[in-house]
Amino acid sequence: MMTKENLTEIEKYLKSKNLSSVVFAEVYDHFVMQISELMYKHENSFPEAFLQTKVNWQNELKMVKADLFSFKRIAKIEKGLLQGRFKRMMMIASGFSLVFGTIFYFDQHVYLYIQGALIMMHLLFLIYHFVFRKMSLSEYQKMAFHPLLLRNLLLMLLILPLTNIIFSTTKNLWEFPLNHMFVTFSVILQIQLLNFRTKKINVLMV
Amino acid sequence: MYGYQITQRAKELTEGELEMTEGALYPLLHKLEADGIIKAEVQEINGRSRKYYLLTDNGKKQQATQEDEMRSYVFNLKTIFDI
Repeated sequence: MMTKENLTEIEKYLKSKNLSSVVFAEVYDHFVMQISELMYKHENSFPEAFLQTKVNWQNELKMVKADLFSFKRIAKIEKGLLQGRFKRMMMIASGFSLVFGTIFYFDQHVYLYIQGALIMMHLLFLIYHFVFRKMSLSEYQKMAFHPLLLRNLLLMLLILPLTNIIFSTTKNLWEFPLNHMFVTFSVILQIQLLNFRTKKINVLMV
Repeated sequence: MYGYQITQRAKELTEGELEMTEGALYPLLHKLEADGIIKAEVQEINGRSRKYYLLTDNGKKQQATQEDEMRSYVFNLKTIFDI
Protein backbone atom coordinates (compact mmCIF):
# COMPACT_ATOMS: atom_id res chain seq x y z
CA MET A 1 0.00 0.00 0.00
CA MET A 2 1.21 3.46 -0.84
CA THR A 3 2.02 5.59 2.18
CA LYS A 4 1.30 9.27 2.68
CA GLU A 5 5.02 9.95 2.16
CA ASN A 6 4.91 8.14 -1.17
CA LEU A 7 1.99 10.28 -2.31
CA THR A 8 3.82 13.42 -1.17
CA GLU A 9 6.87 12.35 -3.17
CA ILE A 10 4.78 11.94 -6.32
CA GLU A 11 3.12 15.31 -5.68
CA LYS A 12 6.49 16.99 -5.17
CA TYR A 13 7.87 15.51 -8.36
CA LEU A 14 4.89 16.63 -10.44
CA LYS A 15 4.88 20.10 -8.87
CA SER A 16 8.45 20.54 -10.11
CA LYS A 17 7.03 20.22 -13.64
CA ASN A 18 4.95 23.42 -13.32
CA LEU A 19 1.77 21.78 -14.57
CA SER A 20 -1.48 23.73 -14.57
CA SER A 21 -3.95 22.62 -11.89
CA VAL A 22 -6.20 20.73 -14.35
CA VAL A 23 -3.34 18.80 -15.96
CA PHE A 24 -1.67 18.27 -12.59
CA ALA A 25 -4.77 16.59 -11.10
CA GLU A 26 -5.13 14.29 -14.08
CA VAL A 27 -1.44 13.33 -14.30
CA TYR A 28 -1.24 12.86 -10.53
CA ASP A 29 -4.17 10.43 -10.56
CA HIS A 30 -2.58 8.60 -13.49
CA PHE A 31 0.75 8.34 -11.65
CA VAL A 32 -0.88 6.99 -8.50
CA MET A 33 -2.85 4.38 -10.47
CA GLN A 34 0.14 3.32 -12.56
CA ILE A 35 2.45 3.04 -9.55
CA SER A 36 -0.18 1.15 -7.53
CA GLU A 37 -0.58 -1.37 -10.31
CA LEU A 38 3.19 -1.88 -10.64
CA MET A 39 3.38 -2.39 -6.88
CA TYR A 40 0.53 -4.86 -6.56
CA LYS A 41 0.45 -6.76 -9.81
CA HIS A 42 4.17 -6.82 -10.49
CA GLU A 43 5.25 -6.73 -6.84
CA ASN A 44 7.62 -3.81 -7.32
CA SER A 45 8.71 -1.63 -4.41
CA PHE A 46 7.58 2.00 -4.43
CA PRO A 47 10.96 3.41 -5.58
CA GLU A 48 11.07 0.89 -8.45
CA ALA A 49 7.49 1.54 -9.51
CA PHE A 50 7.92 5.30 -9.23
CA LEU A 51 11.10 5.21 -11.29
CA GLN A 52 9.47 3.08 -13.97
CA THR A 53 6.51 5.44 -14.15
CA LYS A 54 8.82 8.44 -14.39
CA VAL A 55 10.66 6.74 -17.25
CA ASN A 56 7.34 6.03 -19.01
CA TRP A 57 6.38 9.69 -18.70
CA GLN A 58 9.86 11.05 -19.36
CA ASN A 59 9.05 12.35 -22.83
CA GLU A 60 5.72 13.93 -21.87
CA LEU A 61 7.13 15.61 -18.78
CA LYS A 62 10.30 16.87 -20.44
CA MET A 63 10.67 20.62 -19.89
CA VAL A 64 10.55 22.58 -23.12
CA LYS A 65 10.22 26.23 -24.16
CA ALA A 66 6.55 27.21 -23.97
CA ASP A 67 6.63 29.14 -27.21
CA LEU A 68 9.09 30.62 -29.66
CA PHE A 69 8.46 34.03 -28.10
CA SER A 70 8.46 32.92 -24.49
CA PHE A 71 11.26 32.30 -22.01
CA LYS A 72 9.03 30.16 -19.85
CA ARG A 73 9.71 26.43 -19.70
CA ILE A 74 6.81 24.03 -19.33
CA ALA A 75 6.26 20.27 -19.58
CA LYS A 76 5.86 18.93 -23.11
CA ILE A 77 2.36 17.57 -22.35
CA GLU A 78 1.30 21.07 -21.27
CA LYS A 79 2.83 22.60 -24.37
CA GLY A 80 0.75 20.34 -26.60
CA LEU A 81 -2.44 21.51 -24.91
CA LEU A 82 -1.32 25.13 -24.89
CA GLN A 83 -0.44 25.19 -28.57
CA GLY A 84 -3.85 23.74 -29.41
CA ARG A 85 -5.46 26.54 -27.40
CA PHE A 86 -3.22 29.14 -29.07
CA LYS A 87 -4.16 27.85 -32.50
CA ARG A 88 -7.85 28.16 -31.70
CA MET A 89 -7.38 31.67 -30.29
CA MET A 90 -5.50 32.76 -33.38
CA MET A 91 -8.19 31.34 -35.64
CA ILE A 92 -10.88 33.29 -33.80
CA ALA A 93 -8.80 36.50 -33.84
CA SER A 94 -8.03 36.04 -37.55
CA GLY A 95 -11.73 35.53 -38.32
CA PHE A 96 -12.65 38.75 -36.52
CA SER A 97 -9.78 40.63 -38.20
CA LEU A 98 -10.97 39.54 -41.61
CA VAL A 99 -14.54 40.65 -40.90
CA PHE A 100 -13.38 43.99 -39.45
CA GLY A 101 -10.97 44.55 -42.35
CA THR A 102 -13.80 43.95 -44.82
CA ILE A 103 -16.09 46.35 -42.95
CA PHE A 104 -13.33 48.98 -42.98
CA TYR A 105 -12.84 48.51 -46.70
CA PHE A 106 -16.51 49.11 -47.45
CA ASP A 107 -17.54 51.61 -44.78
CA GLN A 108 -15.03 53.33 -42.52
CA HIS A 109 -17.73 55.01 -40.41
CA VAL A 110 -19.43 51.76 -39.50
CA TYR A 111 -16.01 50.28 -38.81
CA LEU A 112 -15.15 53.11 -36.42
CA TYR A 113 -18.24 52.44 -34.32
CA ILE A 114 -17.62 48.71 -34.16
CA GLN A 115 -13.92 49.14 -33.40
CA GLY A 116 -14.78 51.67 -30.68
CA ALA A 117 -17.26 49.26 -29.14
CA LEU A 118 -14.66 46.47 -29.22
CA ILE A 119 -12.02 48.61 -27.52
CA MET A 120 -14.55 49.70 -24.89
CA MET A 121 -15.44 46.07 -24.27
CA HIS A 122 -11.77 45.24 -23.82
CA LEU A 123 -11.31 48.14 -21.39
CA LEU A 124 -14.35 47.15 -19.33
CA PHE A 125 -13.14 43.56 -19.25
CA LEU A 126 -9.74 44.77 -18.06
CA ILE A 127 -11.28 46.94 -15.31
CA TYR A 128 -13.40 43.96 -14.24
CA HIS A 129 -10.24 41.86 -13.90
CA PHE A 130 -8.36 44.54 -12.00
CA VAL A 131 -11.22 45.26 -9.61
CA PHE A 132 -13.00 41.93 -9.13
CA ARG A 133 -10.52 39.30 -10.26
CA LYS A 134 -7.45 40.59 -8.45
CA MET A 135 -5.34 41.04 -11.52
CA SER A 136 -1.93 42.43 -10.60
CA LEU A 137 0.05 44.88 -12.67
CA SER A 138 2.77 42.30 -13.25
CA GLU A 139 0.15 39.93 -14.59
CA TYR A 140 -1.13 42.65 -16.90
CA GLN A 141 2.45 43.23 -18.00
CA LYS A 142 2.79 39.53 -18.80
CA MET A 143 -0.40 39.69 -20.81
CA ALA A 144 0.85 42.71 -22.76
CA PHE A 145 3.98 40.76 -23.71
CA HIS A 146 2.15 37.53 -24.36
CA PRO A 147 3.89 35.40 -27.06
CA LEU A 148 0.83 35.57 -29.31
CA LEU A 149 0.73 39.37 -29.11
CA LEU A 150 4.47 39.56 -29.74
CA ARG A 151 4.03 37.33 -32.77
CA ASN A 152 1.32 39.65 -34.08
CA LEU A 153 3.47 42.70 -33.40
CA LEU A 154 6.45 41.23 -35.20
CA LEU A 155 4.32 40.29 -38.19
CA MET A 156 2.87 43.80 -38.20
CA LEU A 157 6.33 45.37 -38.12
CA LEU A 158 7.33 43.22 -41.07
CA ILE A 159 4.21 43.71 -43.15
CA LEU A 160 3.40 47.38 -42.57
CA PRO A 161 6.54 48.81 -44.16
CA LEU A 162 5.95 46.39 -47.03
CA THR A 163 2.45 47.72 -47.70
CA ASN A 164 3.90 51.21 -48.02
CA ILE A 165 6.62 50.04 -50.38
CA ILE A 166 4.28 47.92 -52.50
CA PHE A 167 1.62 50.60 -52.86
CA SER A 168 4.30 53.35 -53.00
CA THR A 169 1.86 55.92 -51.80
CA THR A 170 1.81 58.89 -49.51
CA LYS A 171 -1.40 57.56 -47.94
CA ASN A 172 -1.60 57.52 -44.18
CA LEU A 173 -1.08 54.11 -42.54
CA TRP A 174 -4.61 54.46 -41.19
CA GLU A 175 -6.01 54.03 -44.69
CA PHE A 176 -4.93 50.42 -45.14
CA PRO A 177 -7.43 47.77 -43.98
CA LEU A 178 -4.52 45.47 -43.16
CA ASN A 179 -3.35 47.77 -40.37
CA HIS A 180 -6.79 47.68 -38.80
CA MET A 181 -6.83 43.94 -39.06
CA PHE A 182 -3.68 43.79 -36.91
CA VAL A 183 -5.27 46.06 -34.30
CA THR A 184 -8.44 43.96 -34.23
CA PHE A 185 -6.38 40.77 -33.99
CA SER A 186 -4.54 42.12 -30.96
CA VAL A 187 -7.70 43.34 -29.16
CA ILE A 188 -9.57 40.07 -29.80
CA LEU A 189 -6.57 38.13 -28.53
CA GLN A 190 -6.45 40.16 -25.33
CA ILE A 191 -10.18 39.66 -24.75
CA GLN A 192 -9.70 35.92 -25.18
CA LEU A 193 -6.72 35.89 -22.80
CA LEU A 194 -8.83 37.63 -20.18
CA ASN A 195 -11.66 35.21 -20.80
CA PHE A 196 -9.33 32.24 -20.25
CA ARG A 197 -8.07 33.95 -17.09
CA THR A 198 -11.67 34.12 -15.81
CA LYS A 199 -12.09 30.40 -16.48
CA LYS A 200 -8.70 29.71 -14.85
CA ILE A 201 -7.44 27.97 -17.98
CA ASN A 202 -3.70 28.14 -18.59
CA VAL A 203 -2.78 30.37 -21.52
CA LEU A 204 0.68 31.32 -20.23
CA MET A 205 -0.56 34.32 -18.27
CA VAL A 206 1.18 33.52 -14.98
CA MET B 1 -13.76 6.10 -18.12
CA TYR B 2 -10.72 7.99 -16.89
CA GLY B 3 -7.32 8.41 -18.55
CA TYR B 4 -5.46 5.52 -16.97
CA GLN B 5 -8.46 3.23 -17.39
CA ILE B 6 -8.60 4.05 -21.12
CA THR B 7 -4.93 3.10 -21.62
CA GLN B 8 -5.42 -0.17 -19.74
CA ARG B 9 -8.66 -1.03 -21.54
CA ALA B 10 -7.08 -0.40 -24.93
CA LYS B 11 -4.16 -2.64 -23.97
CA GLU B 12 -6.50 -5.33 -22.66
CA LEU B 13 -8.81 -5.33 -25.70
CA THR B 14 -5.94 -5.49 -28.17
CA GLU B 15 -4.00 -8.00 -26.04
CA GLY B 16 -1.12 -5.56 -25.62
CA GLU B 17 -0.93 -4.69 -29.34
CA LEU B 18 -2.08 -1.12 -28.83
CA GLU B 19 -0.09 0.73 -26.21
CA MET B 20 -1.34 4.26 -25.94
CA THR B 21 1.25 6.73 -24.73
CA GLU B 22 0.06 9.19 -22.15
CA GLY B 23 1.48 12.04 -24.17
CA ALA B 24 -0.79 11.17 -27.04
CA LEU B 25 -3.83 10.33 -24.93
CA TYR B 26 -4.34 13.44 -22.79
CA PRO B 27 -3.92 16.09 -25.51
CA LEU B 28 -6.35 14.05 -27.62
CA LEU B 29 -8.88 13.79 -24.79
CA HIS B 30 -8.68 17.53 -24.19
CA LYS B 31 -9.11 18.26 -27.89
CA LEU B 32 -12.17 16.01 -28.08
CA GLU B 33 -13.54 17.76 -25.00
CA ALA B 34 -13.00 21.19 -26.57
CA ASP B 35 -14.70 19.95 -29.76
CA GLY B 36 -17.74 18.79 -27.76
CA ILE B 37 -17.28 15.11 -28.67
CA ILE B 38 -16.74 14.10 -25.04
CA LYS B 39 -17.50 15.77 -21.74
CA ALA B 40 -15.67 15.47 -18.45
CA GLU B 41 -16.92 14.92 -14.93
CA VAL B 42 -14.60 15.32 -11.96
CA GLN B 43 -15.10 13.02 -8.98
CA GLU B 44 -13.22 12.80 -5.71
CA ILE B 45 -11.68 9.35 -5.31
CA ASN B 46 -9.56 8.65 -2.19
CA GLY B 47 -8.89 12.37 -1.80
CA ARG B 48 -7.80 12.77 -5.41
CA SER B 49 -9.64 14.43 -8.26
CA ARG B 50 -10.41 11.99 -11.02
CA LYS B 51 -11.64 13.15 -14.40
CA TYR B 52 -14.11 10.80 -16.07
CA TYR B 53 -14.75 11.21 -19.77
CA LEU B 54 -18.14 10.51 -21.30
CA LEU B 55 -19.40 10.69 -24.87
CA THR B 56 -21.78 13.57 -25.60
CA ASP B 57 -24.82 13.07 -27.86
CA ASN B 58 -22.81 14.58 -30.68
CA GLY B 59 -19.95 12.24 -29.79
CA LYS B 60 -22.23 9.20 -29.94
CA LYS B 61 -23.38 10.21 -33.43
CA GLN B 62 -19.77 10.70 -34.51
CA GLN B 63 -18.82 7.34 -33.05
CA ALA B 64 -21.55 5.58 -35.04
CA THR B 65 -20.47 7.32 -38.25
CA GLN B 66 -16.79 6.55 -37.70
CA GLU B 67 -17.57 2.92 -36.90
CA ASP B 68 -19.55 2.57 -40.13
CA GLU B 69 -16.72 4.16 -42.09
CA MET B 70 -14.16 1.89 -40.48
CA ARG B 71 -16.25 -1.24 -41.09
CA SER B 72 -16.69 -0.30 -44.71
CA TYR B 73 -12.94 0.39 -44.99
CA VAL B 74 -12.04 -2.98 -43.45
CA PHE B 75 -14.62 -4.72 -45.67
CA ASN B 76 -13.14 -3.12 -48.79
CA LEU B 77 -9.60 -4.04 -47.75
CA LYS B 78 -10.69 -7.62 -47.09
CA THR B 79 -12.34 -7.80 -50.49
CA ILE B 80 -9.14 -6.56 -52.16
CA PHE B 81 -6.89 -8.99 -50.29
CA ASP B 82 -9.23 -11.92 -50.90
CA ILE B 83 -9.06 -11.51 -54.67
